[in-house]
Amino acid sequence: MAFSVRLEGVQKRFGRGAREVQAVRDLTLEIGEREFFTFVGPSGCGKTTTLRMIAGLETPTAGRIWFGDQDVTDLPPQKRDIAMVFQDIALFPYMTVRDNIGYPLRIAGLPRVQVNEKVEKVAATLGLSDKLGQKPGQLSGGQQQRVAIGRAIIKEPKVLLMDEPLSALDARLRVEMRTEILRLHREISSTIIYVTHDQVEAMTMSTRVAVMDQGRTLQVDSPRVIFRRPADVTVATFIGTPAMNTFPAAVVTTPTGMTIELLGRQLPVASRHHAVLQGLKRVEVGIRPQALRLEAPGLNRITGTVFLREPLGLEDEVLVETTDGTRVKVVTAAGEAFPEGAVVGLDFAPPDLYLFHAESRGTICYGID
Amino acid sequence: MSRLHRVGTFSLLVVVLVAVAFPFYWMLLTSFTPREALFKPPFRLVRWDLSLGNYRELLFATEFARYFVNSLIAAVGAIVLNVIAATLAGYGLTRFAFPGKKTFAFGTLFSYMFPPMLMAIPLYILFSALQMRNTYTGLILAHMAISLPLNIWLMWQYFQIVPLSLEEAAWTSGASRLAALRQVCLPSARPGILSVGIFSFALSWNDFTFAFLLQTDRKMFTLPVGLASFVEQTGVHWGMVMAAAVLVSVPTFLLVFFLQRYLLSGLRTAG
Amino acid sequence: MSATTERRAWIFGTTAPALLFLLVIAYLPIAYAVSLSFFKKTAFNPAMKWVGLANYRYILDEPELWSAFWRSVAFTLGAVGLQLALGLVSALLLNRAFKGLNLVRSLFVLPYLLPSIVVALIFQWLLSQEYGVINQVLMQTGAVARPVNFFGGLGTAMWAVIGMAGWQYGSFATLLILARLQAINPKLYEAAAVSGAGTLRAFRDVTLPNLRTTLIVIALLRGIWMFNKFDSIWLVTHGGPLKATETLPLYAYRLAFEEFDFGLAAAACTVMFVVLLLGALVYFKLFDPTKEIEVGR
Repeated sequence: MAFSVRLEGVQKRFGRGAREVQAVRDLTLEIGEREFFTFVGPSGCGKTTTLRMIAGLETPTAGRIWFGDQDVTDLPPQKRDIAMVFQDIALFPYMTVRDNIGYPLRIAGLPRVQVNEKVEKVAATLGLSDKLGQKPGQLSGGQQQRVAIGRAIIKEPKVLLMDEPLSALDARLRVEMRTEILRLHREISSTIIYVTHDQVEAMTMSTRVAVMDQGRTLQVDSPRVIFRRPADVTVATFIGTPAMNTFPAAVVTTPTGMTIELLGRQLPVASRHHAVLQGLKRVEVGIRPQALRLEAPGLNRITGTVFLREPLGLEDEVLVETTDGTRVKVVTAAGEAFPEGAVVGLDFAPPDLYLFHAESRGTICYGID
Repeated sequence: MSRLHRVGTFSLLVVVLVAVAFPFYWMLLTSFTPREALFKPPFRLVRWDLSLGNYRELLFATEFARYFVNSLIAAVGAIVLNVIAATLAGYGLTRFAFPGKKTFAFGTLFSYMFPPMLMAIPLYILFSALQMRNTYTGLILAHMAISLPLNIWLMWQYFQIVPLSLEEAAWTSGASRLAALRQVCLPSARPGILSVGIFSFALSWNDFTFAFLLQTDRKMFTLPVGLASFVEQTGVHWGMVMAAAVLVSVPTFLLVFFLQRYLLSGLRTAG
Repeated sequence: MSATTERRAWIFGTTAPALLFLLVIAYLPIAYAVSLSFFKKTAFNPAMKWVGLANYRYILDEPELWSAFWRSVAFTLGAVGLQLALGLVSALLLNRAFKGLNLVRSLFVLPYLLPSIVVALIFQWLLSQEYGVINQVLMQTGAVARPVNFFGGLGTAMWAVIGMAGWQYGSFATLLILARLQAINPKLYEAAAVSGAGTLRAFRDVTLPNLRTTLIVIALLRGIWMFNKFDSIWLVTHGGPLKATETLPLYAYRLAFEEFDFGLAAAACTVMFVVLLLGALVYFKLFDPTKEIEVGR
């Protein structure tokens, strides 16, 4: 059987009585061998707690965790075949880079000569060969994080856990390190489980992503599917920059069919969606800024004025204020047409509309065509 | 600030500095003053005929050396026990959750306030019954009473600063909790441990009350008690008494000033 | 060993030694002293006889106890007052950046590091009637007609002892106050100056409120310490002359080791303890120092 990390009904509660917090609610999923699996979500959503439970640094309040066919739920971190990279880097300040990287092997009792050999190999892969004799305090943030990664991969763990490893680095360094980590994934045989609050990191690096919010797992899918077919409003607005536009809309049922009344326009809904929309009076509508186009105002288009135009290089982010005061974000190619103050019409295609339940926030349908 | 104001505060400052420093100066000067000169007051405030005679006499003609050894044994014992107990307690209190910590904190701070005299009389009775008077063990235990509370407090605060992620990194690298404590946690706590050592030394070395009440046998006197008995005995050989005073004061000074630098640099590399 | 048992072993193993020491070496003697005060125990008789409150009744009637008590109070007020005054004045004088401030700071910490015996000896030497340099200077400047017997004179002994304690601990108080002074935001002084406040007014409105807490803490903690101080006073006067400096701790010592009545001595110690308790309760109520320590985790 191929190796996998399996979580069954895992829960984590902190505190007691009035101050009880449910950090992770009923999580069940399976992570395949050599996947690059990312938990993503806003602060406090439970992603780090989940990672720490997989590591063995926290014990689940309920549920079991399996590495392959071994139940590891009650095993301490030392006995699991894992390695971990921490958010605050956590290098041992009084040891040299060489001793930091070699630490796991020395714990395992390997003779010094062998340890040094491996350390030098790992250091070469990470570009740290000339830093081996220095202490962590003498290195830059990026170099320190690479040492931490070296210390983690040197024992070739089955599962490599990374807790927001890039959040302590500056923006440019973060982009560089992303490529490094991807390269690493190709070269080593470990399953990588990654935690971040940065959805760009999640989307660009992972084979699959789990979006979490307030302890709940909202969706587990490949990045492409999460982007195209989000399971609810939270996922839809969390993933993708700039965030998806959402507005309330009314559902109007007439003898001839159904329409969505949105920002002053009536949009017909194809009959195949009538069944799921049955009985609903209101919905939440979403459309991504990239799916909207700026055109000359016209009868079939939602009218508004350009409130703000932010040039971003090849693209512009345009904020349009509609006649009833709603602000809509549009991403267009950089251009001179429709400067601030101009009156525009917003155009889009029916397949690009998402309909969500107004209360439960779950997706009703993708597109109204 | 007006001229007068400046001159005034400056002179006041000089007065204060002199008031603080003069006793030290006088102690030092007297210790190097030849014996004969000390019988003929009035004394000069500055003199050039300095000699080491008092020190020679102190070290070779009295039991100073023995008292020194006794004080040293007591101090080292106090340091070792304090470091072990306080470091372990600091670690346990910051790394584990269990009830009763607030009581522990209160209890520790409160016992720090107990004055030696309050504990010395009951300890005297207890130790008499247990045949522990005039022993090194008894004295070391008594010295723990005055230094341990502060040291527990110190290490408790100190371990809060050592990040847990260091140990977690060690655990996920395969180290057991004990190994991680030894290899990762303790080196990072070195400055705190040094402070504990210094406090334990100073409080033990300087203690008079316990040593006086518990050690009645001449051979077991520590330096403070020995010094006090000098004055009774030798009458008025102030040169030698001051020389002894200087020697008794020097170890604490040296310890504090040299390790103070180490303490500061220790904090820098960790940060 | 299961995970919980191991965890429990760790908790126990790390906290038990310290806890044990504290209980046995600090709390047990105190408890013993309090319980002993209800017995008659002398050094001559190994047996103890329960006498209930007899010891207390005896002691509280005994004028010597009250004299000792009030002398403790006098010493405490004098010593603490002197330390605060010296500390405040010195700190204010030192509160400006100048070369050698670190050297001066080192100087100020020295008296606190000295053993009480050394301080006692130095002051006995300085204030000696025959050989003391202070008397020498006083005579030479004509301030006194003949040498003063500082530690041996009825009128001067207490003052001399207070002065000595003031020197030993006052400079440390200086450092504590100085640290607090330097932490005061200089912008506050600028704001006061701009609003028209002179030096004295600024001191009252900016400096003092900020120092209030530090001063109270020093007063409280030093007060407890001075009330119960034994070694310094005993070493210079043995309680004399004619018990002029016999404070409560010295009285307890005399009861135990010169009159050999441990029961009575224990009663005197309990009185000391009650004062300590009151002072500590006030301190904890006002400041809750346990806040500094993370007890929640």
